[in-house]
Amino acid sequence: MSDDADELAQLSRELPRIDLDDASAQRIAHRARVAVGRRRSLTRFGEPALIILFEVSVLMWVLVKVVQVLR
Amino acid sequence: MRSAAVDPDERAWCDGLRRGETTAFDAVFAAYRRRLYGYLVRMTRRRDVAEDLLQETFMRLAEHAKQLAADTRLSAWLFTIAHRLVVSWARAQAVRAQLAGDLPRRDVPNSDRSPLEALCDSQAQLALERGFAALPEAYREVALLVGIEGLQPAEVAEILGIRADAVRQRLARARAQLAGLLGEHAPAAWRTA
Repeated sequence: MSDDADELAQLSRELPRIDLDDASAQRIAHRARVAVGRRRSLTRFGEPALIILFEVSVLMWVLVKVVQVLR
Repeated sequence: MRSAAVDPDERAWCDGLRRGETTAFDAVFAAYRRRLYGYLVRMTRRRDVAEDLLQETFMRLAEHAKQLAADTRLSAWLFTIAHRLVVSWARAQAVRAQLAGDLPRRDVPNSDRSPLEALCDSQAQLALERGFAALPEAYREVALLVGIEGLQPAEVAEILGIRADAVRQRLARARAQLAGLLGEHAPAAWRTA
């Protein structure tokens, strides 16, 4: 490693260790574990698409209202 | 994310994941959860977001388990996914901020400690945590991946999709900026340089 990398590595050892609480870690592990080897489910595709659709609709509505007020 | 020099543990985990074994997944989760979470917290500066992105990272691992190559370097693979998720999250944040009419940021500097800073039990540690947080994102990311995670500049280049030279350059700049930010808490060698 370069001097910069060595020095940063040495300095970084002083940083506090960050970890998840056990309950959150178990929840995350459980959710992902059941998906091992499975294809991405339709819900995982559909959920973000629905959220985006909702956000875009709200933004469009806001824009229309702003334009109406400005006229 | 493939290489001839793969850690034997990682190779065994990869084989297990390709066979759909949940024990292999558990081993990978136990080995990388803290490292990935620390990286995500320090990149997003939010524990709730870091938790979501950690979950998404492991969901992607689970869903791609059967497509992993036998010689996949899991650390590089996982950090690549985490990096991409951070980039997407930061982009979404920027768009939201712009749509909100460039309102002033809520996180104006104040004397209170953030939850991350609350973990620090000395002034030097606090200065270091704040120093890392104050680095520009591109420099912070390289400093975290090389400094804390101990990844090689070539691996970091692969994760970030940039050249190894660019990684070394960012590393040198991160070190120089950190020296200035740390002031009296900087290592003695940095202060005399």
